Amino acid sequence: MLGKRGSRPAGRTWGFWGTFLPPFLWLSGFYLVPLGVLLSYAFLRHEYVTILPEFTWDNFHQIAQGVGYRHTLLRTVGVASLVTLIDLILAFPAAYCLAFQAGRFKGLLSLLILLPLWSSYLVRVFAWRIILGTNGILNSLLVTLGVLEQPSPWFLYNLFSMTVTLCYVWLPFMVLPLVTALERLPRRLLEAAADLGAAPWQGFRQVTLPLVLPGLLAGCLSVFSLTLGDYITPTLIGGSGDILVGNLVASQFGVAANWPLGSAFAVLMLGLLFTLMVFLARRGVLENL
Amino acid sequence: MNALLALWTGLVYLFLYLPIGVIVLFSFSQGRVLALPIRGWTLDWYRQALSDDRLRSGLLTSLEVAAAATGLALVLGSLGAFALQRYTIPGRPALRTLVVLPIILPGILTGVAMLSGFAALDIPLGLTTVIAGHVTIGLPVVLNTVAARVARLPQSLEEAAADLGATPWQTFWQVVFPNLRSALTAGGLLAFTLSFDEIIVTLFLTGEDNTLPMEIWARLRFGMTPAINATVSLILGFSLALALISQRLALTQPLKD
Amino acid sequence: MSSKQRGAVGLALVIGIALFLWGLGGRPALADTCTLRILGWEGYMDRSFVQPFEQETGCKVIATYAGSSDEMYAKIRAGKGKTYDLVTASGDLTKRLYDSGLVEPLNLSRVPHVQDLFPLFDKPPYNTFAGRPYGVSIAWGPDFLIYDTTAFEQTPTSWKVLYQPELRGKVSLPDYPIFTADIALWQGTPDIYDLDDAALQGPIRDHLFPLRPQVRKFWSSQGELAQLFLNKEITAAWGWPVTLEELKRADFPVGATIPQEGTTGWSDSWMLIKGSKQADTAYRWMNYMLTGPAQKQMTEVTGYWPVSQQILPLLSAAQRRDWHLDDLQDYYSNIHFWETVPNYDEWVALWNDFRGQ
Repeated sequence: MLGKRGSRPAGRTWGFWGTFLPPFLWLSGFYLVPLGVLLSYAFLRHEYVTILPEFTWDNFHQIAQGVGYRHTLLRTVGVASLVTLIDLILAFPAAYCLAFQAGRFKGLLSLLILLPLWSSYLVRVFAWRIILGTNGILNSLLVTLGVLEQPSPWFLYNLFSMTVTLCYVWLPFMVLPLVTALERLPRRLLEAAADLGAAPWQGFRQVTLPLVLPGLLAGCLSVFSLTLGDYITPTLIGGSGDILVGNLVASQFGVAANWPLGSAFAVLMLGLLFTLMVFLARRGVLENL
Repeated sequence: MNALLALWTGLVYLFLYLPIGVIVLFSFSQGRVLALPIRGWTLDWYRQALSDDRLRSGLLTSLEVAAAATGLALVLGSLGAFALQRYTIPGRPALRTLVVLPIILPGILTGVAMLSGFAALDIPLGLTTVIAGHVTIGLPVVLNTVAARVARLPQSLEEAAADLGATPWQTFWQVVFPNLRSALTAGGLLAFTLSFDEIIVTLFLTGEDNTLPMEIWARLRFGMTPAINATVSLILGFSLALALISQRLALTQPLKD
Repeated sequence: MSSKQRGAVGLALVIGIALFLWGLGGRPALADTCTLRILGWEGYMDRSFVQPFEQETGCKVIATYAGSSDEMYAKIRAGKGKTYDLVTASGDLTKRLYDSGLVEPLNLSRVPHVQDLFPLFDKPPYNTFAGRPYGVSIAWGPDFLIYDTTAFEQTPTSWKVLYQPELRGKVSLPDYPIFTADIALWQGTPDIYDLDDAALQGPIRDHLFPLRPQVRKFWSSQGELAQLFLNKEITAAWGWPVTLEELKRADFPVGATIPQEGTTGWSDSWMLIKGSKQADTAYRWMNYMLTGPAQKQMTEVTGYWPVSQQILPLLSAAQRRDWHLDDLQDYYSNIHFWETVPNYDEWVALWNDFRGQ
């Protein structure tokens, strides 16, 4: 039985790396090493047009001192949490309905969740401008209905419009892992709970929820992270002060060419997400993404 | 209770499709300005979109990039999924975390990290770097989907095939692959979709060739016209048709999964 | 399936990947064909004058628009000079590109039409460094106060109208740190491009920050600004002639003025990216863009003001007056043209603070 898997640790390791090496090399070369390069920039100094190769904490000092930077970091975490919460509230009942009540339409309805992703993220974001703008659809509707006397500028270019749009664009990323998690629920377990006299709410809390928790948290992590890194929605839909940390990173790399400062923001973003991941990894969340 | 649930779900779908309805509506609007009131209806924007070379070449580039990225992601992702599910070696949980990093961390980090990496190595930006970026995002997506399937696939199946004298090639194509087909399709479809609409990473890694989202981004900034709406509506129509057809085919076949 | 056999499958897949990558390498390299890649402001590579050039030379022009000087700088740096051949650099970018060693000195004998430049634009300080020419002028213009005439009974006379309570949430400003210089100008600062940290964090900050609640949206492309006016989101803005032209074409009730404090402005130059393999085509393009018809088409599309005397016979007297070609020297000397700012990181820091406060 020589060579059969599991017979000898050495053969096992050889077999593992034989298979794992290509994806590992790819991710190391194109992701992990560049991430390291990126992080190392955070501790270098930028001066006029050059990056000086000397160790410094300057970039972090700058972030700590700038009122705008601090507010932007707080705003980002706040908006990302809010968007995650709203999407969870929107998605959970819908995913439940899809998994258990859609019957033969389940496949089609799941597909319809994915389909908006085919219609250009940018244009979907832009559509909210048409809906919420001063001359937009919502305003026209409200004026026609007599709710407003004249179009209001309050729906667009502020935190409200930005939050609505972010909830909208990332919603599929919450629904899909939830549907998958709910589908995997052993029906018999739910039925057993009901047979044993558990109230629907009890059954949900004590049987359903713990089992779908990894999928649920996976959805939350996706939406949180996607919002955290978005800089296009704030640019297109946000108001004059509603920039997120993604805008700061993007502008330091894509505009100001101050890579060290941009990297320092990236380090903060990474730190936050790694902290979250440490909590979530134990719950088996990462396999459910 | 069930009615309430159905109503809520209906509202969620309404929310998802309202902006899409708006996009399609304005693709028929006569004026250039994307705001109410709509002054008249026209098919001109469709004519313009179909004869617009830049939109067409953007679409082609996007399809090429997505196809290339999906192909590579499928191969690399399934290899990774297999390795991680079928072998228990020390440090596996850490490696499991590591391979999903690109979809846990925001795209902007992938974008600027890869930009720094390419800059450090003096690699010129272009479609190749864009594809590399999209593979990096698609790989974990495929890996997760396939790994979930492999986990449910009894290992005894492969062992039985081997014991019956099947070559590894035969085992793979006749035993393993048919069982993975649905997972590969699902993972591939998701990777393709993500790549086709990717902008956050692409913006940092692109050279002079525009993918469709890059072309739309340029136009959003430098003069948006309903021709973009028309293009998006067309793509949406095609993908809807494809989705419905594939759905019909799937419904007429007995589902194994 | 044994590990050895599994390895064989893996190897087959690796060969597949290699073949695939090899196929990718088969894409025709752009440098082999005659293709000029230009990174620049909107309007400078419009089809109306690109097409005649392409027909004449058989070369293809690929235009990439950028929304700001900073974006151009970042793109050129990220591409290490391999992505573009030419850039349309404004005065706040030219010296930065030169200091970064990203541009080539020019051989002006290969651009014969430079002798027809108005004297002001012949080897001007903003594209001549260490005595050598690094750029060829394209166009220039002032930054206007643009307003919706239905919202203003009379022409505003001071930039300070932007602070008025009635304009709260009705203003658009450019998302450019260089705009800080305008604040200095309104305060009567003598050298508005030389502001130290004390000035930036003191009087400039005090006058910049109150503008935030006035702003509905910062613009980062002129098309975006035009849309903001057309969608009735704003009534006043800091903007360029190109937006004015676009709004006029759309029959929007628009006015533009230079208030009493004076204004900032820009002069743009073609600059050749170091390492470009298309220098020949680039020289032909720069020369072509100084011809009368090309200058005229360019000014018609952008509303920016011409630099070559070859345009004069093609203009009416009214047009010459509109573009101040008769009193060029006087008019030009009253505009504070964008310059490269040495402590730009501090300007950016202040700007980020302003945006994110």
